[in-house]
Amino acid sequence: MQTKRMRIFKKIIILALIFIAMPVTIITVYQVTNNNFYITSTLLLIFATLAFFLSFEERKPQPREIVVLAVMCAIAAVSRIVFQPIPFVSPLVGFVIITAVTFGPQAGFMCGALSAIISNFSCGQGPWTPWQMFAFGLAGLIVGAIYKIKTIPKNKVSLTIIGFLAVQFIVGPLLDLSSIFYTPMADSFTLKAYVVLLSSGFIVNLIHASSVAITIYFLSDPMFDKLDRIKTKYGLMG
Amino acid sequence: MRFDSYHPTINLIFFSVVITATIFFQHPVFVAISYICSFIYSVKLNKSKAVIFNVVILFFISFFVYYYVSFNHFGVTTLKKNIIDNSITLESLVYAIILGFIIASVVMWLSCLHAVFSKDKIVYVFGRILPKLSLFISIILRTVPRIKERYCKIHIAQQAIGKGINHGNILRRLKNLFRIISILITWSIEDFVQVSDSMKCRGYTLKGRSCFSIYRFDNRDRSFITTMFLSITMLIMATMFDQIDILYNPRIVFNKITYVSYFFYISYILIALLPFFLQTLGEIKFNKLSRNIKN
Repeated sequence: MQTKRMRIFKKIIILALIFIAMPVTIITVYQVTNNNFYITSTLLLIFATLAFFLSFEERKPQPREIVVLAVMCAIAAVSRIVFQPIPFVSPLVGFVIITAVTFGPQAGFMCGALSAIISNFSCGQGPWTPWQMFAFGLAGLIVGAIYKIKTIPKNKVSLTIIGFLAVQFIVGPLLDLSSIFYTPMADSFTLKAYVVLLSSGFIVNLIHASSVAITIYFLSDPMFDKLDRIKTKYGLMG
Repeated sequence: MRFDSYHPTINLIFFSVVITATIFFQHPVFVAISYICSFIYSVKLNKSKAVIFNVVILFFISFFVYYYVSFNHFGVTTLKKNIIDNSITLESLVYAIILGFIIASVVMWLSCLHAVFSKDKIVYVFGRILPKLSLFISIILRTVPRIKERYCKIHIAQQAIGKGINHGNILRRLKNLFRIISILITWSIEDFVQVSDSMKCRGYTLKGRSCFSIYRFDNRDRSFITTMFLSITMLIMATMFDQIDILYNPRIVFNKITYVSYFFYISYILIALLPFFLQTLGEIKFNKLSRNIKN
């Protein structure tokens, strides 16, 4: 009885986060903090991420599901930590996308968000952490959703192209936007400044996106083989 | 007593209050207080490593100030003209210095946070609200070092049969690397069954499970939080009296510093240095007591 009440309570919290907390934040915090973009937008991101985490909590995940997802997150985080000395190269999103395609969009979001926060323990936490969590999670969510509808055949080439596009046009611009907000540029933020920053960050995003594309191209087929084998061997659901 | 022996929620509240105050208070006195306090506390926590780190940050601040001043020309008081005939103004110089010190003190507070707020505390704080998520994070945190260990094991074994990453030409080395990665991933994924089965055997899916933690909320924590919120109230009063407001553009304008404003400064120093004071007091007392034992 109590657990049922708790579940309803959690559902109400999720809905309240999305439909009440977000508009209220946009209206009040933006006024109170004197047009501070960073705090307003970061609060919005935190609410969105929290809503996802609460829905994960509410779904009552089985131990096997949790552990296999955790292993995928750890592999993604380690891949970023290993490539840390080479600037702008990180295959993290590649592993997130592979997870998202195998286990669904929600698992993709969880994997992206958590591997970002875990890998930041050795790459450095900072004001960019919530943004990285949201951006990597969003890439997993979108790619997972695209393949869940089954409009596109699930093969190596299409996955590589979609992964490349997701990093170049979703993750990169989002992280660029965050870098405007926590630098002194935020005082005079305009759309033009954002376009200038995007054009200067184009090559960085290109390197990041191509590292992700290479990861997916070479590792997606073996990873799918391994994960499918695990699924049939231990009876995991997708 | 080190600050990390206190309850994790108190650590979290302290650092969030101090860091937000540092970001928002652009009044020179408040910035100076925050900078000095974070310097002292980080040196106390990290010893000589912190001193080097903080001096390196100072170097970066001077670089930032030079960059900011040569690209921003607001203000009315012109100091001099630079090479391309742009005026360098007093207001932009002061504002750049203030911004630089704010960034430096935030970085130093973050280094203190890193020393005090360990991973298990994060898991604990999450676990109060989202127990399954915190379990998830703790599994990941354990898996990351385990993957590194396994990589070393596999590498040694592969080296022994002549297929390590330092055998053969570049193409063969890459092939060996991919082989090792493949083995690593298979091993890690395959191993999850053991973990999940042991979780199930210890009653993961049963009802009425409680979470173990070594933290408890005692009187020491209560007194700490009372003092902290007293100072926070003083700081809120300071914002209401416009003591923290200052204008840099086009002219530096701020409210008069009166006797009351010293109270606000003292309360800000109190909140920022409270962990430092407590740790020093604890050490002095500890030394005294240990000397008594020898006698």
